[in-house]
Amino acid sequence: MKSPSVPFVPLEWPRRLLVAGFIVASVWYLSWRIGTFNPNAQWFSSLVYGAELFGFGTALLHIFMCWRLTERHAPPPRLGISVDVFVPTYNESVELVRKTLLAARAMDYPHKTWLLDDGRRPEMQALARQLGCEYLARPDNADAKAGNLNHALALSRAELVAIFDADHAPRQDFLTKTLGYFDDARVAFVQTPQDFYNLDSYQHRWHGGGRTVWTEQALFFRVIQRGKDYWNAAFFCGSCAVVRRSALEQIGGFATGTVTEDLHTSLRLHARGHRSVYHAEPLAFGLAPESIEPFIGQRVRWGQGAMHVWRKEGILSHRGLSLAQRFNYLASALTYFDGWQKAIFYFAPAIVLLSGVLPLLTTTPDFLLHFVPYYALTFWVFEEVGRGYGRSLIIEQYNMARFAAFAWATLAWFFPRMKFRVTAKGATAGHGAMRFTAPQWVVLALNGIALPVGTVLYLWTHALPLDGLIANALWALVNVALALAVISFTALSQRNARKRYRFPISLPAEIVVADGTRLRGTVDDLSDSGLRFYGKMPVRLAVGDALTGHFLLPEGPVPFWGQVRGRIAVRGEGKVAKAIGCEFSTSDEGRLRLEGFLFGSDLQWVLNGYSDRVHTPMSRWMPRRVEGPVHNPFADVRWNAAEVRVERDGPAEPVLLSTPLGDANETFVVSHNALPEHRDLFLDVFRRTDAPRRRVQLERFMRPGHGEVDARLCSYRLRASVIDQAPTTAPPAAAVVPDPRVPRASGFDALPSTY
Amino acid sequence: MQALLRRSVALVTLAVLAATARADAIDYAQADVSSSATTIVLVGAVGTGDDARPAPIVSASYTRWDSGEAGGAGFVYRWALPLETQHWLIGAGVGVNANRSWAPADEESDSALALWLQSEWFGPAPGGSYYALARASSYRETWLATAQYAPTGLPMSAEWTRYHERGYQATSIGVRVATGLARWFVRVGVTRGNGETSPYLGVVYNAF
Repeated sequence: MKSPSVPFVPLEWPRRLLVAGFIVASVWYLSWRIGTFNPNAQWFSSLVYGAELFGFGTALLHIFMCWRLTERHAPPPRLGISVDVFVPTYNESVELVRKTLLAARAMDYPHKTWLLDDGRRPEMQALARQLGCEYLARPDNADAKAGNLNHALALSRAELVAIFDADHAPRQDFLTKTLGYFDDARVAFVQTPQDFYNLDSYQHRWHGGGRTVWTEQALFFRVIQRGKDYWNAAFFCGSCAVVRRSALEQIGGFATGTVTEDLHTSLRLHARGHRSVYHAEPLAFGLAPESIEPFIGQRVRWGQGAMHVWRKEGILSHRGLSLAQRFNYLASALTYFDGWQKAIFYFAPAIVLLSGVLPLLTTTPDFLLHFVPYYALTFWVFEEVGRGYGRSLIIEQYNMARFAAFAWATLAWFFPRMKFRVTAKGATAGHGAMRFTAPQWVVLALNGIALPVGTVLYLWTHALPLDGLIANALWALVNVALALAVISFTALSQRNARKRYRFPISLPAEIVVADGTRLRGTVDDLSDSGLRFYGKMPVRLAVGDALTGHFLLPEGPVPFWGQVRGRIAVRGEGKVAKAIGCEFSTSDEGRLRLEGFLFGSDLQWVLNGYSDRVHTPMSRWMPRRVEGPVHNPFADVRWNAAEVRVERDGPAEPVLLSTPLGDANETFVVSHNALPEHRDLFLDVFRRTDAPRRRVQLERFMRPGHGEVDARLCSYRLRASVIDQAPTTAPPAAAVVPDPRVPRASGFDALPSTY
Repeated sequence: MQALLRRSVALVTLAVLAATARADAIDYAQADVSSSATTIVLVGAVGTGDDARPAPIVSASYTRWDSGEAGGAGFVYRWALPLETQHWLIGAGVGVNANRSWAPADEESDSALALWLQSEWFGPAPGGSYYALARASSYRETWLATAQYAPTGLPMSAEWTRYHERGYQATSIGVRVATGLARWFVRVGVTRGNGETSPYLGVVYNAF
């Protein structure tokens, strides 16, 4: 049963042809392989063949899931829906939960926010009271998160329940983008992607000059869930979702008895004939695992949960599910068996090199003829079906990182009482985290030793044919490279871990140094206690100097005081600083406003033109027929603080003005308020080198990028720009008042005046 | 420096193992290196035996870790219990054990005569063959259990080991890959002991 009348994007025909070619090549290869078993090593031959067969089976399921991707547009919500927002917590810090509650509280659309504290901590109760949220605790922790949610369900009344994990801060428009779907009475839940704000986490990778930010879950949330949605099989992920209370009541509340109440609850809701919606726009931003320890722990729990659900509910035999839904759930559960398949591939070449026993007997030309098309198409199809979100080379590193965790998790199918731990969010990575790379060390050691030993044994015993030696040595080398990549990335991420994530968000700011000098410039690389400031810097400013200042948030300036912690010198001019790093403090109110601004927003994606999508070979070669990523000009610029005036000496509107990084020849202006278009404005920019005031004209610029981007930022392209010859007496930033003649951005009227 | 020393010891040990094995002076030798310890085990049969009257064995082991070392040597007499297709050998013997720790908080050194008891099982199993050993010693409440399974047609076996002594317990899982040289194997796996996980790599000569 697919979702009727849901708009979707099918796989483009060149990609379909490729899939057809892949299936033909795979069937040809796998049927040929049956005749190549080594009769003296039946077990070994069967294991390697079984791993290949499993890979083909799961590839078919993957293609099935990703064939058609829904493309939904949020219907507007009707008025009068009652909504409760649940934020369950167990052991997360007050600091982390506060950010989520602040964002949850600030969401548009009337709602009540509940903090569900399974840790029964007085400080959480105080936090809820301080932020005006309801607080609930229960005497025990029966059924963990599901039990916590069910307890809250029994004590609340709203018809819809939005759920956010303690680290997931929603965007202001989360509810207005999701509630409209519930006008269809059959919809039981709406799930949105789980995006993350800490782009330096263990599961993020940077490419493309630092503007392509890929995450290990991108393929799932950008492609697979949309594909499942087409078949009414998108599943609830436990956070960043809205669920209908009446649907939950029909299945007895959130499902208990497994460690993944989300998958379990989805399956029961689908089996009862309810519909699910996957709204693919990132509307909440959480904390991704910062190190390998929580990364592995999280995946073990998901895997164990999937096994529990499979065992308990019988995915293939569960009554009420359509065939397509069964396939979708099966595909999700089978993912974890990849661990065994990968283990076979990681150890097989070492076994061959050491023992001289081959899992297949054939001639080199015959092998290459069958294997090369199959192997090449497997990777290529994965890239194309993943629409540029499945990065084979990086995915292979994550496959290496998690293979043992996945394999371990599947044991829960046989031993359902295996224990799991709550994923530690916001915890600093411990020194012992490297022990989680033990499986990769084993792969590295075995393949590493097999290469020289295998070569020596070849020269000594000639047990292996030369082509067998070469093929398996290459294979072992790939495994060594993958294991090394994981170990080194893990070590690097442990070493570079910052205590607090710095948002690469630019803001106009002013600092005042000890002698009273005022410097206007740009803040970026900002956390709630640290920042980097660019501007015209006095030479005498040194590490340890005290300073005060303020940066300008949309709701007005936030004052701070702090100390210079580092100087970034202009290249070749050691004494001249182009930027300083500061540690700062602010008032409680300032901190709340800063956190409210930084978290629950995709501003860092918008301002920096980040993308998590890359070209596939087909989208590059056939851009008219195969969709690829759209170039975002913001990826080619950096921002400087500036201000515009309608009148020469009138009130100023703080904005950011782009500076091209490379060959970009366009200039952009962004503002949190709408600016007048097609008329002369006066523009002053504050940067390291003096720049004269300019007269400019702006025209609205529609940004491409990260989903349907946060509407809270207005973007303009500079149409005309000339140096203004007349003298100016610009007022200081502190005296800036909003210009009532400047129209406000649509969708932003609920906020107070800015700048 | 210590790591270099450990690697040198391991290399020398490997050379000695190779030489002694080639000379048929020992029947079983094993050397493992991990990030936390180096272990050597040597076993030799005394005389010749058969299924009904297995030969007694002498064995010696040595382990060195960052903050200590331990060693032991002993003699075990073995008896075969009559079974149809499976083999069950029980043994009893005496040994000398020594242990030295130079960890600042746990500095100690002791040695003692100990009573050793052991039981071995081996034979065919579904899809392959198995070997299991359980050994207990009166020294520091020590016991060891190990099990191996070798599928037919796969040049490797899986192994699991649990080691227990007063103040230290560890579990290892790993694989043993047959090399192209008869009787020689490479072992690789992971040991988890006292809250630490470390991969190990080793070489085995087995003439039993």
